[in-house]
Parts: sequence; C-alpha cells; structure tokens
Amino acid sequence: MEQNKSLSLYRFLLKLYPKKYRLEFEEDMIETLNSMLSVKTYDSKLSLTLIILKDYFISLFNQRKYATEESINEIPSSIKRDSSATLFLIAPFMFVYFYNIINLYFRHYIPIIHLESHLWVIYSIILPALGLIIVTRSFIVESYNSFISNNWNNVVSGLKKEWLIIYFGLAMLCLKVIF
Amino acid sequence: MKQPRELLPQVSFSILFALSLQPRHGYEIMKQVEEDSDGKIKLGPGALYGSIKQLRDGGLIEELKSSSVNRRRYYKLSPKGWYRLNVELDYYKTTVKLSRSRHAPEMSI
Repeated sequence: MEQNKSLSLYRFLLKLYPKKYRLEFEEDMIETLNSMLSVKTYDSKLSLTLIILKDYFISLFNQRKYATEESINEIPSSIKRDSSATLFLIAPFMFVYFYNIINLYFRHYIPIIHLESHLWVIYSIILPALGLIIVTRSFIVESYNSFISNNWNNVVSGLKKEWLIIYFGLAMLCLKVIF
Repeated sequence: MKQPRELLPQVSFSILFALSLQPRHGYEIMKQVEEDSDGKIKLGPGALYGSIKQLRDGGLIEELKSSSVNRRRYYKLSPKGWYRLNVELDYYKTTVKLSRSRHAPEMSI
C-alpha cells in the first residue's frame, strides 16, 4: 500500500520532466523504483528517500537543460541569427532607458544621459523597428520555405518552444517603443 | 574507428562495463554497477536512464527487441560501444602501468 503511494508520488513528480524523455523512460523509471522499493537493501526508508530525491532533482535539471539545448538547435539558424541581430539593435536604447530609470531611483546621484532628440528617434524608434522587420522577415521566409517543402517541423518547433515567449516579448517591446 | 577525444563520465563507463558481461535491463544494470564499484556508485532511476539515453543516442548501446512476456527493455553493447569500452580500459591500464613504473611508495597498486 505504502509502496503504491510512493510510486504514485514518483509518477506525479516525473510529469516535470521534458515530455519526450518522459514518454520514453517513465515506465522504466517507475519499474526500476518499484524494484528498489521491493528488495529493501537500503539502511532505512529515509536514506532511500534522500537518494531518490537527490537523484530526481539532479536528473530533472539535466534533462531540462538537454531539452532546452535540443529545442534551440531545432530552431532554424536564420531565425536565431535575426533575433540576435534584433537584440543587438535594441541594446543601445535598452541601456539608456534602464540607466535613466536607475538614475531616477537613486535621485540623480549618477548623471542622467541626455540624448539629442534625433538620437532618441534613432535609438527608440528606428533601430527597434528595424529589428522587428528583420525578425518578421525571417519568420515569413522560414514559413514560405516550409510551405514549399511541406515540412513545418522547423517553424512549428521554433514557434511553440520557449523562444515564442522571447519573440513575443521582443515584439511587445518594439511596439511599446514605437507607439 | 575514430579515437575519442575525451574520457567517458564515470557513470557511463560503469554502465558500459556492466553491459560487457551480458545484456541487462535498467535495474540489473543498477545492481551490477553498485556491485562492480563495491557500493561506491549508487545510481537512482534518473541518473541511470539519463546516462542510458546519452549512451544510446551516441550509438554505444542498443536496445534488444523485447519479448512479449517481459515488457522490460534490455540493453546490450553495440560494436561502437565495445570499441569505446576497450579504449577506456586501455587508458586505465596505461595509467596503472605508469603509476607502477614511478615506484611511488605511497601507491599500493
């Protein structure tokens, strides 16, 4: 009874693993834990619990890391390159913006950066808008390529993974800056 | 085959070593690794299957076709895995030989 409870709890915890890994190894991991619990060769329940928990958290961290690396590798290189270019383009504006916020917070103990109006236009409108155009262009090009080759895997994986959040954040930032 | 540039991590080496005797399923590998290391390496399911995945993706171990009776998955060394295990063992053999040749009194091997 108690063993079943432990296995159910472990099965629940395994839900935090990346889906691909979980689908492949979930049953094997539970089967192995079941064997470990059955043979009772460990000093105490506490020592076994600590071994399992330590193993769980280290392995969870590693598998999440590998899954993120894999998903980044799946993203088409043109999208990766263009989003990096966008970050580079909005970097000067972000620097001045946050510098001045810190300046306000510290009540002008550090000198504020005063920019000429034409520089503000370049930093806050033209460069971010250019970045937005570049990213949008790469998505359109990749989507077109996928449409031609009838293989949507790259664009879909690039879209649905964590990078979507980054693209959304970037787009929102650019829109906020523009309007 | 191409000479590997780095040594395998301890756990991966131990799994290959455990599989050199016969094909095994996960729990058997775990017990064999513990026995081989005299209880020094205690694997949990996470570390075990993480390493199995890496070794399988690297082509060092293969999954055996499972019978309908036993749903556990058995693994065996692939030809590449045998080669890699021999390379690792050669390295350890050379290290032991080298340390013996140095005649350091503190060394008990």
